[in-house]
Amino acid sequence: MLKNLIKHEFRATARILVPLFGVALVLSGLSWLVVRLGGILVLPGGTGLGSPIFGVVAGILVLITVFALFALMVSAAIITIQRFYKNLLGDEGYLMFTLPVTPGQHILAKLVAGLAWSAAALVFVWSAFIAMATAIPGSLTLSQQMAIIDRTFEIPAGVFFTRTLSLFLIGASNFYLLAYLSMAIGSQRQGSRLFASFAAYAVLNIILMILSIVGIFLLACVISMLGLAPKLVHLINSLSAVQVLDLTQGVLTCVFLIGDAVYFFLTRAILTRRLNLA
Amino acid sequence: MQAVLNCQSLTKSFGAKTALDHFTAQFCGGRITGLLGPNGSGKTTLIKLAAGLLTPTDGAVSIGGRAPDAHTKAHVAYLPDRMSLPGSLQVREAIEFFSDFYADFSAEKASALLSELHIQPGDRISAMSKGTREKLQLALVMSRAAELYLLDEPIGGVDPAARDRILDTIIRNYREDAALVISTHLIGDIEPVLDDVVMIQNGKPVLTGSAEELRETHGKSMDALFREVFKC
Repeated sequence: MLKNLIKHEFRATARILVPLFGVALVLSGLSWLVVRLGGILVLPGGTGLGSPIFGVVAGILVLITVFALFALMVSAAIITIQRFYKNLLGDEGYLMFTLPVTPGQHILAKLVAGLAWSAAALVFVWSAFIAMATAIPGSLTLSQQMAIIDRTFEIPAGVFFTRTLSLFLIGASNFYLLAYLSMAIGSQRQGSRLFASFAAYAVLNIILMILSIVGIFLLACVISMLGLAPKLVHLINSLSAVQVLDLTQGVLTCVFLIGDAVYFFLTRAILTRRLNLA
Repeated sequence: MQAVLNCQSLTKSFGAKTALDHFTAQFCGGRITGLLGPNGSGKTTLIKLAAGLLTPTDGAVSIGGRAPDAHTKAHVAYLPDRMSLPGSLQVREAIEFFSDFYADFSAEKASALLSELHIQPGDRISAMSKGTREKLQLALVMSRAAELYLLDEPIGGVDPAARDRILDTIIRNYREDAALVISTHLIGDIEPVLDDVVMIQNGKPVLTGSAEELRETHGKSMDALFREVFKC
């Protein structure tokens, strides 16, 4: 049943997002072409077709493309959140919550589809920027760019991108699940549910901030009491920059995953025990 | 007869307001039960509780001996009192949606029913009139061979001519050993098809029994009895 939920979720979101990807693709292609033909980003009016008018038109086109790529990322996030609100907590919830599936499966289906679209948008934006950057006459080739990443981070560029994407997905899932929890809390009100959802999101963020500060303070106290501070400083100093990055990523991943689990179970509990459709 | 839907002292409160107040009733297989009452009497709350859309404040509701969950939902066909199908779907996509989730759904039956109602597979729901959307939703629900049908105001928003068509669709298509619960306040239209009646007021049953026996005992039609019971 989860598979069917995900299938229909993809279908519903694709209706809106596929055309947006199409527009972004066309704009990126055109931008790549004008950059390739004119080299306008390097020497406006200087080479190729780089007359001043062409340069201005091409520059505007590239700006619009950058805006469209940004809009694509934002749209994927907005639609992921809006789908939860409309499809589960609005009138469509009367259909969705009478399907033979559990509330947990509903949350997972929305999350999986949302993350897939967000990842697709991110990869698309990366690819578009890399393509445009390599299109500039005299710029670094793709393999040269990859080699720089290899040298800087001491890992193959492919691994770097995969790890960045993983971290992005874990962060995005944290954001989406917190938004889902806020909407589930907001839906407990009889009126002004949207406003209540935003208010719940703000309050939850304040609570998270307070918990973070208290947590860091307690951790510092424990480290100080156990006399671990010098050892910890020595350990961090002995690490390379890449190892510090790895450590940071590991800690962030753990924190996000704990948050994900908490938000998921709280949202599921609300949808199971206190479902309150509009 | 075995009770398919069982309500035991079922209570649902929304803040200070009690929508359903220690409601006890059984709805048996092979019977069509009219859940009758004025607006705000608790009919929709009872149906939502049975459909698993609400959880009881107190008491219990069970379907085939089991509290509403994903398992019972596979055997309950629910028609809400509003349009719940996404407007972006075409009719054929709505049929596919039901096929994917309900093992007891017959796509062939749905297609035949929709054809009778002059609804085309390529029609988009958002482009349909309110009445056509209601017919589509009803046709999809009645194309299931469920054990319990919960129809919330199926004739509430349509003209008298369409009511007959809708009632005909219901009667011709439900699984005959299933329990069918129809909530409405339009008694005159629905009276001929009812086996049993549960009249509900302020969340409590005020009159229950076989429609025929109630008519004989009180010497009036169900419509007249309803007007007497709920006289302002």
